[in-house]
Amino acid sequence: MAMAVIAVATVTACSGGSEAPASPSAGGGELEDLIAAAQAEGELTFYGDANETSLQKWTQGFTEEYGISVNILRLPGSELNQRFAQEMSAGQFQADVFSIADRVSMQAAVDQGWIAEYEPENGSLYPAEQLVAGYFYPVQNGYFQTVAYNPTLLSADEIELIREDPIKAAGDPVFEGRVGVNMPQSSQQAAAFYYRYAEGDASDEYGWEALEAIADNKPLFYSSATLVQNLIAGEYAVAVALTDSLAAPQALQGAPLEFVYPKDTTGGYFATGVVEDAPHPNAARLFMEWATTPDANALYTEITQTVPANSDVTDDRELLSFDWYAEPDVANVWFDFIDDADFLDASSADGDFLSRWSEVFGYSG
Amino acid sequence: MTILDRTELQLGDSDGTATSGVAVPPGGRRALWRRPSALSVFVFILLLGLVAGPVAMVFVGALQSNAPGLPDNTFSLDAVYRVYLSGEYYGSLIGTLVMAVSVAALSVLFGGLAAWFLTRVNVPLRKLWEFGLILPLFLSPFVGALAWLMLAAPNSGMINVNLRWMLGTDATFVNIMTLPGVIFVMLLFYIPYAYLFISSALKNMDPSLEEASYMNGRGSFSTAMKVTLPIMRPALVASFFFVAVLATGVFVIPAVLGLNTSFSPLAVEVYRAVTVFPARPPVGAALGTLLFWFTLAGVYLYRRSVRNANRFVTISARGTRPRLVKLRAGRYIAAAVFALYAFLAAVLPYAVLIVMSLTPFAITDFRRMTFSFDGIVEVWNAPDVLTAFGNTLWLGILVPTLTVLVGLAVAYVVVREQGRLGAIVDYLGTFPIAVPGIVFATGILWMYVRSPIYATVLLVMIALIGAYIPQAARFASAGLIQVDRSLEEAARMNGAGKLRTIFTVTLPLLRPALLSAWSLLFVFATREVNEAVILSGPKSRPLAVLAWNYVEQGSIRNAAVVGLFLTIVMAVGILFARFVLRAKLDSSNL
Repeated sequence: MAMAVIAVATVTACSGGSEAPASPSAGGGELEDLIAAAQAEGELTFYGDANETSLQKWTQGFTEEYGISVNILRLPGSELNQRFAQEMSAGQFQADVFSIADRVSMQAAVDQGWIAEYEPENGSLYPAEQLVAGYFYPVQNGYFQTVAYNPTLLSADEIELIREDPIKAAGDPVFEGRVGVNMPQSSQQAAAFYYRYAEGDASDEYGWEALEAIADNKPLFYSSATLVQNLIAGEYAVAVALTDSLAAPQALQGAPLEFVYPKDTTGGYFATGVVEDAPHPNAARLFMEWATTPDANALYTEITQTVPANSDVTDDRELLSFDWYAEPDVANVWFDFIDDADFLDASSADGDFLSRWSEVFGYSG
Repeated sequence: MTILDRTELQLGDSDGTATSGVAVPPGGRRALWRRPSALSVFVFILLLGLVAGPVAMVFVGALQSNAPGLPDNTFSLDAVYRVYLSGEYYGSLIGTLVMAVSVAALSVLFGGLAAWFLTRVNVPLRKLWEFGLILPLFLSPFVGALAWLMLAAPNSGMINVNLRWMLGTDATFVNIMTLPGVIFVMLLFYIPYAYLFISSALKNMDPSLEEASYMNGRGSFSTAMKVTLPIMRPALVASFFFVAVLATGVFVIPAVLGLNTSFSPLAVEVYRAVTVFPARPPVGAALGTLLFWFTLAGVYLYRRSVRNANRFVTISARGTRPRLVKLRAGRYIAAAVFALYAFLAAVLPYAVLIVMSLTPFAITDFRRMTFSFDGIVEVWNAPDVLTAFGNTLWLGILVPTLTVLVGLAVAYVVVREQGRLGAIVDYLGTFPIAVPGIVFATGILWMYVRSPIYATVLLVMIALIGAYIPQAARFASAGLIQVDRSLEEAARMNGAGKLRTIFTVTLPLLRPALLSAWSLLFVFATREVNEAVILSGPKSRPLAVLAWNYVEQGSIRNAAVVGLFLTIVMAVGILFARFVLRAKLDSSNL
C-alpha cells in the first residue's frame, strides 16, 4: 500500500508513465491516490477517431466528475494511427489515451510497446473476445456496417426491397443513379464489409457479381462522414456500408434517415488504452477507470445510440423504440476480419482486393 | 566601410533610376565576386530551415518503405517506382496539368479583361467592383466549395431541388460535381490573383504610350490590342504561371466537390495516400516530388516572366493618368458582368453559408427547411472553440508580421545585394509556391517531430511563414525597386549601419507595400487549412482546422458556423488594417 502511494507520488513528480500503477484494484485508497495524482496533472490528451462531437460530449462527463479537462485530437483512423506511430517512434509523447476503431492498429501499437499495461477495475465487464486484458478495452462500444436510406426519397415498395436484402437491393436497377457507397479505403472494417460478400464466407450467395450489380447503378463515392450528410440532403437515396454509429445519432435527431443491418454484415469494437510514457499518466489511468464504469458506458451509449458493450448497462436506447430499427444479428456479424490472414493480405497495400474493388466500381482513387 | 562597398556605391549612383536594378545589377559583374554580406548569409540559413529542409525531407520520405522515423522502416524505391514508372498515376498527372492550365488560362483571360475594364473604361462604380473582385480571397476555398456543393449538387443542390418543385420538372439544371464545375469554383478563387497581377501592371504602365497611339488616330480597341496587350504580355504570362502553379497544388476544392467521374487530381491523391486506409506515406511523398518537378518548371517560367514584367513599368511620378475609354452601353454591360461575378463568387456562397449554419440537417428543399440557432450554440459551447479562436489570432497576427519581415530581408538581398548567394536566396524564396501545402506540411512534420515545438502553434507558424515567403518577397521587392537607393546610400554615408538604414529609411518608404502584403497574408494565415490540419495538435488547432474537422465528420452545419466565425475574424482584421494601419489591399502596391 505504502509502496503504491510512493509510486503515484513519483509519477506526479517526474511524469514518467512506466512507473504508474498497473491497477488500482487492490483497495479503495489507491483509487483516491490516483484521483489526487490525476487532479494534480489537471488535464488529459485523448487521441481518437470516433465522431468528435460525440467524443466531446462523452469526455465532458469525465471532466465534470473529476475536474480534469480533456483535449481531444480527432483524426480519421488511418491518419490518427500514422500520426500516433510517428510521434511514439520519435519519443514525442503527446497522447495520454489512444482510442481507435481499427483493432489491427491497436494490436500493432501494443506489440510496439506503445500502450501501457493497465487493468481498470471494471475491465471484466466487457466482452473478453473484444479486449486484450491489461491493454485495451471496448469502452466506446461496437459499431456495425449498415445500408441506410432516405425514406423521403423512396416509395414503400422500394423501402421494402431494401429491408428484405439490402445488398441485392443496392444492385437492383430501380436504384440506378440513387446509390452512394462508403469506399473500402475509408477503413479496414469497410473493406472487410465488401470482402465478405465478394470473397469471404458470404461470397457463395453474393460474390463479386453482387458488387458489380451495385457498380452498374453508377454509385457516388464517399467516405463515411460525407456519406451521411449527402444521404440526408438527398444527393442519393441508398447508402451502402454506412456505419451505424454515424447514422444513429442523426436519425435520433429527426433527420430523414433509416438503416438496416445486412444479415452478413461486419462489425468491430473501438479499442481504448493508456499510452506508454503518457505526459499525464495518472489522468490517463483515471480516465480508463472512469470509461470502464457502467455509468460512462451508458453515457456513451446514449450519445451514439450504439449497442452498449458493458454487461452492467441495460440497453434502453431511444433508437429501439423506432419501428424501423432492428438490432444486428450479432451471431452472424463478422468480427474476426482483424485476424483473418486471407483478408489482411488481400486488403494490404500490396494486396489486390482494393484495386479490384476500384476497378469494378470504376473508382479512380 | 570597405573599398568594394564604396566602388559599388558610386557605380550604383551613376546608374540613375532604380528601375534598372532588376535587370542589370548596378554593381555590374563585379557584384558576383563580392563576399556575401552577413545579412544574405543569415537569410540563406533562415531559408534552409524554413524551406529547403522540409522540401528535402519530402524527397527523403519518398525513398523509404514507410514514414521516416517509424520502426522497421528501410530504404526503398517502391514508392518512387509506383509513382514515376508504373503508370498508375499518369492519368491523374495529365488530368491535373490540364486542369491547372485551363484554370490559369481562364483566370488570366477573365482577370485581364476585368483589369482592363476597371483601369481603362469608364465603368460605373469601379471601386465597388474592384472590391467585389477580391472578395473571394476572404472566403476559405473549402468553405466556398462547400457552399457551392450545397447550391449546385446534381440531386440535392438548392438550385436543382427548388427549381424542380417550382417548375414541376425533374430536370437537373446545374451540376457542380463535374470537371467543369470544379474548374468553375477554382476560377472564382483564382481570378482575383490574376486580376491583382495584371491590374498592377496596367496601373503602373506609362500611359504616354497609349496616348501616342490615340494621337496617331487609332481607336480604343486597336490601341488595346496593338499597344496595351503587347506591353502587358509579360504580366499576363507571369500571372498565368503563378495561377497554374497554385492550381496544381490545390486539393480542398476537388476533394470537397468529390469529382466522382473523371479523375483525381494529384494533390487529392497525395492527401489520400497519407490519410485513407491503408496509408502509404512514401507514396504520398513520391507524389509530392512528382508534383514538385512540374510546379518547379512553372516557377522557373514564372520567374522568367516576372523579370520581364516590370520592363515597361514607370517609376517616375509624372502624374499622368491613362485616358479612359468611353463606352456608352458597354460600360453598363461591364458593370452587370462585374455584379454577376461578385454575386456568384461572394454573395451567393455567403448567403448559403448563413442558411447552412441555421439548418440542422443540410436539407436543401426550401419547403422542408427548419431554422434554429442550435448550431451556433453548439459550436460556441464546444470546449475547444475558444482555444481555436486564440490560435487563429496568434497565427493571424504573427504569421503576416514575421513573414513580411523575412520577405523584406529576402527581397533586400535579392534586389539590393545580388551576387551568387542572392540568386540562391531568390530561388529558395520562390520555392514554396512549388510545393503543395500538404506535402510541405508533411516535410515539416518529419523534420520537427523530435523537436520540443512539435504540435504547438509555433510549428504551424513556422510552416506558414515558410509557405508565404514568396508572396511577401514579391510585395517587398516590387516596393524596393521603386525606392531610389540613393536615399539608403545617403544614410550609409552618414554612418548608419545596414540594419539601421533598413529600419530608418527603407522600411518607412516601403510601408504601403509591406502593409498590403501584411493584409493579404493575414487573410491567408487566418483561413489556412492544408498545413495546419497536418501540423496542429489538440491545443494548437486554429478555427479553419475546426471547420475542416466538422466537414470530415459530416457536420456541415457546424462547419458553416465556424466558417462564419472565421469570416468575422478576417473582416475585423482587414478593417483594422485598413483604418488603423491605413493599409490598402489592392493591386497598387504589387
